[in-house]
Amino acid sequence: MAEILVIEDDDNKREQLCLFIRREFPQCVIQEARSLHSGILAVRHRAPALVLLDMTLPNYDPSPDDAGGQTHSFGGREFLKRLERYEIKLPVIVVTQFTTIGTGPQATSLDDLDRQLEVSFPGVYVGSVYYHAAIHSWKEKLLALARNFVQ
Amino acid sequence: MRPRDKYTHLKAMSKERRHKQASSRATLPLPALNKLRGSRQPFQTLSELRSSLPQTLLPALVSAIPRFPQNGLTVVPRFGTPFDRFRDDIPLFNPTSIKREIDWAVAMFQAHSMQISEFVQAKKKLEDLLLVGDFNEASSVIERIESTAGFSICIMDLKIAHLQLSLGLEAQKTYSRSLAAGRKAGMVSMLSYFSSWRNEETSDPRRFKKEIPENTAKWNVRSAFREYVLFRTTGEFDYATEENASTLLRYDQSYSIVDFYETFVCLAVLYSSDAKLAEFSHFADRISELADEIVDPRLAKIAFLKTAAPQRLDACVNPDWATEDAYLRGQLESVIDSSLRRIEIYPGDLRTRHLAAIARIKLGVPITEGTGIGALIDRTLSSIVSKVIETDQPMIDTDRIALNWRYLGHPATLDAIVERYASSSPLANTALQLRAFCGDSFVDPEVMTQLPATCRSAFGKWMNLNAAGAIAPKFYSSNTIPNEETLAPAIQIEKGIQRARIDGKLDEALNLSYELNHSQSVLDRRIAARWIAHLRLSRQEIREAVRSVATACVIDKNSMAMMPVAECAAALDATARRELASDVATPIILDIYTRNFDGRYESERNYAYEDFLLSHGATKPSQLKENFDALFGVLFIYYLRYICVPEVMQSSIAFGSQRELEEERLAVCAMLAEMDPAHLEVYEEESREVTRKLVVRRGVREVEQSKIFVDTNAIRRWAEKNLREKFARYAALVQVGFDVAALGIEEAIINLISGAKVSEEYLHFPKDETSELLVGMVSALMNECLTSSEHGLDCYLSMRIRHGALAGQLRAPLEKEHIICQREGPRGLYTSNEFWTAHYWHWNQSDFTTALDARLRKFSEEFDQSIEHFAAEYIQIRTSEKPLGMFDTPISALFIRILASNISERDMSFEDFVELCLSIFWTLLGKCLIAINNTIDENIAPDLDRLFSGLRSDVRSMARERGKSIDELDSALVKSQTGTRQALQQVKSWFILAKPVGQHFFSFDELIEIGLECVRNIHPEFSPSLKTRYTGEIIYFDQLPIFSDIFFIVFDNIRKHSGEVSPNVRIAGILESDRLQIEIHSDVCQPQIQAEHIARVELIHETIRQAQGGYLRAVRSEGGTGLIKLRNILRRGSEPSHLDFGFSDNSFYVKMEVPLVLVLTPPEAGKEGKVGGNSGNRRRRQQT
Repeated sequence: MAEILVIEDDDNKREQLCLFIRREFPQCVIQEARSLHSGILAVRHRAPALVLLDMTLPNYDPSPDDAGGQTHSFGGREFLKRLERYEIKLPVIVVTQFTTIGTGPQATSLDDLDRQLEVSFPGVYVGSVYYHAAIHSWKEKLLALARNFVQ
Repeated sequence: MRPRDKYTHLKAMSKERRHKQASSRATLPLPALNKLRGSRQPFQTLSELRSSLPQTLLPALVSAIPRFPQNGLTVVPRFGTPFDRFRDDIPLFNPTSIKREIDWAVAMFQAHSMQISEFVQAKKKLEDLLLVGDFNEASSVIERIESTAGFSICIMDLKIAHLQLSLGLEAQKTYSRSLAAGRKAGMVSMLSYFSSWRNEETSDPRRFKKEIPENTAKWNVRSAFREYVLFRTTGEFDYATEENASTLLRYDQSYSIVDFYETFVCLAVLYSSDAKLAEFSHFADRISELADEIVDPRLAKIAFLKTAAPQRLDACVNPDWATEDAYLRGQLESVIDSSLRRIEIYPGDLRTRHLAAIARIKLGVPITEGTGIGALIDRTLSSIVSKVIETDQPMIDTDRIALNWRYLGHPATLDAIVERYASSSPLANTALQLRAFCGDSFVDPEVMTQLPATCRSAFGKWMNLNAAGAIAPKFYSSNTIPNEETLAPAIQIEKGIQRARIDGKLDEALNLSYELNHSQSVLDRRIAARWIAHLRLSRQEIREAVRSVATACVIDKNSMAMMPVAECAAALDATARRELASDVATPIILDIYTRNFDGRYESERNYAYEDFLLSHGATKPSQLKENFDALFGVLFIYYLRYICVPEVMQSSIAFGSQRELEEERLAVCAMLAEMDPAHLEVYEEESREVTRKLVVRRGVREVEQSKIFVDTNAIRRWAEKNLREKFARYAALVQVGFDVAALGIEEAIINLISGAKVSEEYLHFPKDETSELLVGMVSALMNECLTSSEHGLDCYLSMRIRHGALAGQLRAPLEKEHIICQREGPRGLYTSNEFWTAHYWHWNQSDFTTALDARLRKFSEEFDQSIEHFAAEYIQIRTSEKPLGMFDTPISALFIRILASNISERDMSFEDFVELCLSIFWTLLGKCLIAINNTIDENIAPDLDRLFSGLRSDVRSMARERGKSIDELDSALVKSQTGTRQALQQVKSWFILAKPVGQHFFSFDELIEIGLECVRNIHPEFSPSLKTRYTGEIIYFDQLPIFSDIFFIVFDNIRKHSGEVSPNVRIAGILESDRLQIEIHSDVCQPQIQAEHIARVELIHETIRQAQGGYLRAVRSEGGTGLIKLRNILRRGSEPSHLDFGFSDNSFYVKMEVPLVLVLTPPEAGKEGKVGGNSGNRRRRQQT
């Protein structure tokens, strides 16, 4: 049975993504990760058919004793780099709530980041989707992108 | 021959030649002459003629230029025009080719050759005076230059630099302002402004060179003008474009002849670095001719490069052969002695100053202090050659000299010398060496190898001819080592390396490099290490190159600038990293690059860190302890010390939390303490710091997770007092058969869960005395949990979220971008947005800035209102007054029946009943929190987005209507919007139910730091300088949230009242008997202590005095100072407490007494009900 891995630290957004998967791809098993670290562990031990990836991620899963370490503005990009390092080839769709990622001189618009990732991670990076809890257009775009990898 | 003799000789020669040439020059044809004389637009006519006439007629055209101004306007600048008649509005000639610009320039200079020669000589004199620090005489020379050559931009620039150096900032500013006074804004005003800014002592030349292009890029001017301003202010321009060179000449010919000449020579010198360039050919073709008429060693050297005629070099100053020979022989004392004599005569001889610096470093002789640029150069050279100073200051000084004194000769030479110590290649930079050679009047014999092949033999001949008996000419002009037994060994070896490399004998070159690496001199060893790395890289021996560079940098970190770190890092691609994974030098090179250059290889460094561990069978550095013997060494110590740090280790999957990372670092510090006892104190200090950070982080986490908080211990005490009796009565009624629970409750629960229909009976409260008693107890307890003014949820929502924290969190990104305006008091108007109105002030459109200001103030108001509405209406307990409040814990009939069933079946105790009710409360609260998170996502975030979109759209159209764009403001708005979304994510994380953490204990100092960190999470710029003192028995406190509330309020008040971001704050804690006295004093800027602040503080005192039981009012009135809430926190203890605050002697103070009963959990909390103040409660930390 095909698996979809959702790497997302925001509980509400992760829940929304899981609901979406259950509705659109009921045959798939959903795997969840809440940080860069747990996302990497997940792909090293399993081979999901598709990864839905948040861009801004904490390093570790938060716990009562630990906030999750440093939050990486470009944690999603770091995840893609790790895939490259471990020579793992998986289709990845970035789903982000931000139109601009990062701050200061590193601030990058989602469109620019999309182009950068396309060039840097060909064959792995599928595309990006702008998620907004109050707007539903993200579902259509995500469905169109995900369909190619999950039947 | 002494230079003055040479000058007199050449002057006579020049005069004679000029007479001859003048008599042979062609005259202007009559039609052209008539056209010029009869023209109503002489400037336009001249512009056309200078482009169209044959080159041979240009001197005649220059002679025919009308001498008198037409309509009060001169056509071209005149030599000697003083400042009051200096014009910077002469029109520009039409553009023409660089070749024609050069021809025109030569014709102009030939017409003023004598005056220009005098100017060059005077400028050289000025340079010597500035080098020796004779500033008074330098002032006189500047005056003389201006009285003969007139006002010029280059002398103005030198004068500003001179005033800054000799008399300081005020003098140079006064002069700079005097230039702008009474003149319309023009080139002089603008250039003097930039020059003045650049010469300020605090100006960083690198930042200046970066900022000017960024600023000018925004100007709405022709690109040619921008190029010219950049060249004049920073000395830089894109000389690869022919058009740029002609633009500069075209601009400068309209200001003054000496500026025109200096720019011409500057460009010729720049192009001399590449004889293959067409521009060089154009310049050089005409410069030979010009060099015959103008006495300027720079022209002579360029002519030499073109013609290879050695006699051209006679115009230059001979090398200092005595110092050169002493240096080659290794007679370092003689080098110092002879250099002093030489520099007295020729202060601008930087080659000699350089050799003296090497000799002093090798002998350990300190430099002689002095004034003037020469002394500064000596100090800079000493620092750069020895590299003992770890700051970048010597390089900044070099850049400052190069920028501020660039119209003099020596900066180019200094640049070329410094480059030898800043370059990772042992091979000289030909372009820089040639520019230095052509830009100065001195001759560096070492330049021989950099000269074009056609000139080398002539240069050698010239050296040998001028230095009878010296060994230096033979040494530098020959590829072989002269048969000279007295040469210094290191010099002989390096010459051998160079020779072997040229001959392709790389093994021999490498062997000699290793031989040199054994030298006693650090400088020689650095040179040797650079050769080794260079030769290894050229042989593609990556492993050896990486290892040698890593070793050199780790052993002598000051050698880093001379090592090919970047080349080695670039060579470590994925394949090389795999092959060299087990070599510790691999992560070290990538780390050195990341720390000292840029972040390009940061990921690769992190991977190499992990690969090294894996190749040694480990996943964590501490596991390498068993391999100590095999790995022991300086490189391994570097690896542990600088690479095995949390920032790098976090990329490894071996760690599952930040805490694990920090604990691993502690283990690494312990290893380092054992391996590297010389730095034991460093590792011990780091261990203490890591431990402290762990404690503070844990505390902050605990505070963050306690925003949704109910003091359940207090609730239990309340229940004990108010419900125990009722519960006993209920239990008695149940015992005699009046049970609320009915049979079939389990079936009802199953139906409820499965979605089947639940019997009507269970959906309604039973109407009898027993059930009313149970419902009453549960409702009262829920109500206490929600609304108690001392320990209920509402109290903590008020203090930890509604009061300041929410608004602070969401406003912070807007404050960072200066988007949001400040409100004057809780109900006041919004102040003007001075940042953005000032930013667009230069548009000179006051209606725009007024409209922009009004729109930003309106946005600020709407933004604050939106947050306030969320806080005031949603983050509230739902009541009839707050119908939108999202905290509601309705008790359903089914819950009551389940509860009743549990009580009946289990014969439940009162304590268990309370725990069960609390458990139901937390469950219901959890649902409220989910709803709040959804509301933030679905309502608050879109609302704020709408505000941003409206603002962006409005300000864009306001600018568009005026034909302007507001890119910077728009970018700031996008950043603010993104920041606000991120801040909202953070706010969402507040609304969670924290899982219980173990009981933690904190020292007084740690509690203060945690309180401060909580404020800094919201206001990151706030960074007070803390001094803490604690007196009394050392104990550790476990009621962190209460301390956190106290210090949050105190620090937030300090932030508001101090008037600065880094105020001095003194905190004293005195433990006496059963209470802790805390005194906090914070410095306040004097203007900050205004009557209104004092009145406000007095009002708070009055409110506290009058508010008997008025806590609810305080809870509901958000946005104040929080001091009333502080009063109520302290009142929570059963014993009276003391609080005072206000302004005194330029400081804001808070004094309080905290009963220990409030901040120490008693043993068996909640069970005993009352806490005594004895030492039995004082916990010592259970060590982690």
